[in-house]
Amino acid sequence: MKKNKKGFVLFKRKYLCIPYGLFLVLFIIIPILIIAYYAFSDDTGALSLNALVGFFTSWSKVNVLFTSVFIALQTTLLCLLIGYPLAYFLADKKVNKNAVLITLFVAPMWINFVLRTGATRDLLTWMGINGGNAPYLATLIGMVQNYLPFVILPLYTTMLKLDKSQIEAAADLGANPFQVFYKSILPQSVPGIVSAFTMTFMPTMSSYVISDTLSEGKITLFGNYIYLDFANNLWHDGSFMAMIMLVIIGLTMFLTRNSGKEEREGGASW
Amino acid sequence: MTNLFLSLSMFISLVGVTGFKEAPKVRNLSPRQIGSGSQTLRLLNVEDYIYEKDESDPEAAENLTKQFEEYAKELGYTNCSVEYYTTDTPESMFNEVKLSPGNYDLICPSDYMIQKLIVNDMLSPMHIDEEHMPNYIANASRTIKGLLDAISAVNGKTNETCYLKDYAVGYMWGTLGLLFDPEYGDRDADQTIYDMQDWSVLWNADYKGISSIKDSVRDTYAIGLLYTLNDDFEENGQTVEGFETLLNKYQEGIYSAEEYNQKFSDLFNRCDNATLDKVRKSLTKLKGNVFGMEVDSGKQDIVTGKIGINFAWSGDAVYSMDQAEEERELELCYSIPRTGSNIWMDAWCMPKYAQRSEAQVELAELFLDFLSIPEYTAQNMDYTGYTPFTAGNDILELTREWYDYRYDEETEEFDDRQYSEEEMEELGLQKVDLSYFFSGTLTDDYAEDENACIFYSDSYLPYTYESESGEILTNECVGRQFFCQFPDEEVLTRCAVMRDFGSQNDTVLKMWEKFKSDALPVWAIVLFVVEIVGGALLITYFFAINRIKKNLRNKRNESLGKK
Repeated sequence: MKKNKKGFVLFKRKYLCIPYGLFLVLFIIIPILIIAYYAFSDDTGALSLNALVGFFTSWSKVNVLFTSVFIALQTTLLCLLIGYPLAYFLADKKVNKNAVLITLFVAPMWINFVLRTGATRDLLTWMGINGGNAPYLATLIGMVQNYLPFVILPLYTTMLKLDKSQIEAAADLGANPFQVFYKSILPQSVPGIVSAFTMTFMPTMSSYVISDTLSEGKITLFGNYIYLDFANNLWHDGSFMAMIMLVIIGLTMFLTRNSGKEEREGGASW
Repeated sequence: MTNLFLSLSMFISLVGVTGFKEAPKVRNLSPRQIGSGSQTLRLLNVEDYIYEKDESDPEAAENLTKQFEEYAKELGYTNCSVEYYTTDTPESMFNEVKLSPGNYDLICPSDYMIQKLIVNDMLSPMHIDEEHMPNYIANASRTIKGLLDAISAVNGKTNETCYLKDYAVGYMWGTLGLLFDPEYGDRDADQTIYDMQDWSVLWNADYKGISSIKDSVRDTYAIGLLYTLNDDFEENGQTVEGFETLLNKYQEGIYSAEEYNQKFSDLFNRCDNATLDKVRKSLTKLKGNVFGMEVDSGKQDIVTGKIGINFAWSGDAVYSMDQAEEERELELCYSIPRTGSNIWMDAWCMPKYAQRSEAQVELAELFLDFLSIPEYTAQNMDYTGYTPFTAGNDILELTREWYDYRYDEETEEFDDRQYSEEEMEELGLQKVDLSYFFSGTLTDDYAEDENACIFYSDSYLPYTYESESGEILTNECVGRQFFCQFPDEEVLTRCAVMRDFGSQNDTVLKMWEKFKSDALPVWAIVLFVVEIVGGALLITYFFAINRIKKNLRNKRNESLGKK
């Protein structure tokens, strides 16, 4: 360590990273290594591929994976469908003066989501939709309600940066409203869509409280399954599924990052 | 100075150790000598399972753990304190103990989990005898303690057969049954109560979407078994008697009570692959007929009216009944279907940990003995709604106070009389004999009174009514709080302990995983495929358009360049 003349340690800007570095190693890297260890070992601690073979030969586990992807995809699409036009209007200064409205839309995030889900369950039961008669619908409603703010926010920030003159030019040059939308507005908002997609798709895959509460335990998502294994002392199987989850999340991030880059660079060519 | 102090303390500790070695019977020392150092007793239990002070009531007694500290202090354990931890299931208890056996001095799992702990060599035996736990030995119900003590497991390391009588001190016990609202959704109450005497009611389409079952393997597997193996079935060319036949033969007197219970228990503990497969199929059917699966929301949902039938543990049933009366003036009933059910027991045991001191063990045993003092047990029973192992005078009096018709709530007096058959009919009373629970634990006047264990209640079984066609229909296994907490001896004959699945454990879990993971419904698969194919087409379309445009632009640029 360098010291100045008075003997004080010279402060460097990179030292600011030390707290986070420690955090990263202790609470992210080491736990992941432990999961990896459990995923590829057996009860005696020896290297073993039992969990891997078990996963891919078990129809029920693959089934749960499909169900999770299905629910996650529906949630994401529904959120985008609802959130996209909403974000567009909220980004309009005439509608959303002082940005009060956007705050209102994000406000549900201030309440703990477990409490919120409990309240949603009561509300849905009162409306006649419950895990007993419509587990998928109830779960989807809960998921969309929970993840909508995560879609609105990134879309809203993108919409704020829309190039208004380009849209006007398109209209001036004879594009009808539909053409204006898909030739100018949509391409410009692709980065927002991509980040909204990642922010909804991945957490939905691993969530389990919402589906458990609203489908009354009838829909089992990947997160529930991992929990089930751990609760029954099947640590190796559980860890392996956690690894699968990691891989899927990593894959999604990788894919969306690449496509996002491409769109941003070549966006104007649409 | 510091050095002197260090060597002095080392000397003392050495003396301590050698002294300890020479006199292994530290137990014979008086408590004061052992307990003068500071000691912490660390307990692990499931949530809401011990008396805790209601903070809004200033006159309420302190938490039971606090009361124990006082109790121990009076006996000379001047510096003892209790740390009370909770978890949610016996399975997570097993995890905790496996990870760090030294973290807890006592844990309170269920019967099957104690077996599993013994198999994994994770428990130490305790001194469950007259000398160390006089209150437990004197007050624990003979019958229930007998059931617990007889359970055995083979230690996987030493190959020894261990009986739970050396390892477990009974805490609470109860049954599994159906808690229901007889008039739910404008149903005919008489008919509903009559229907509840069979497990098949859960599969019955008339009750579709109003019942909840447990989201836990063992409990739901139990009802699956009771439903699936109800009728006789073929196995290896031989006919095996189902639950229905066993019951009939017992009622006809072909089987004695013991024989019946033994056969019932054997059938109830089946978990071979063929049975598992059959049970899974009926459970999958069940899944479509129920409202949902829960582990803790059910006891509240039946009170608020979200569901009409809840497959419940007896203690939770008592809780729900009390709540329903208070909040909605609703009278819920509890039925233990006639073909039998599960009796379970929770007991305290000590995780194996070599470094635990003798003094610590003694304190733990003192705590278990303390729990069996009827005065304190009564608080637990009142708070949790579950039935304790402890019987004895105080519990008898409390039971009379709560449930007996002869107890006058206004004058707080008990009229010790017997009713004749005519009087009972006139007042609509049933005679309940609980001597199986109390006998042997009563003292003084109660011990001499041969009618001490006879109760009179107006809400105990059987339930009889006349149907529209004039038929007299009876359900002999339904009741309210009293029945939940103290089923009669007849019910116990029809109940069995569900043992640890042992080597079949993984297979049972596989079955459960399969049951939990339904394939997507057809509409979902269609939607899924359409979306994926649509998305893929859209992406290819845009890529193609881009490519074509790029080519065109390049050509244009080239031609421009040529000019």
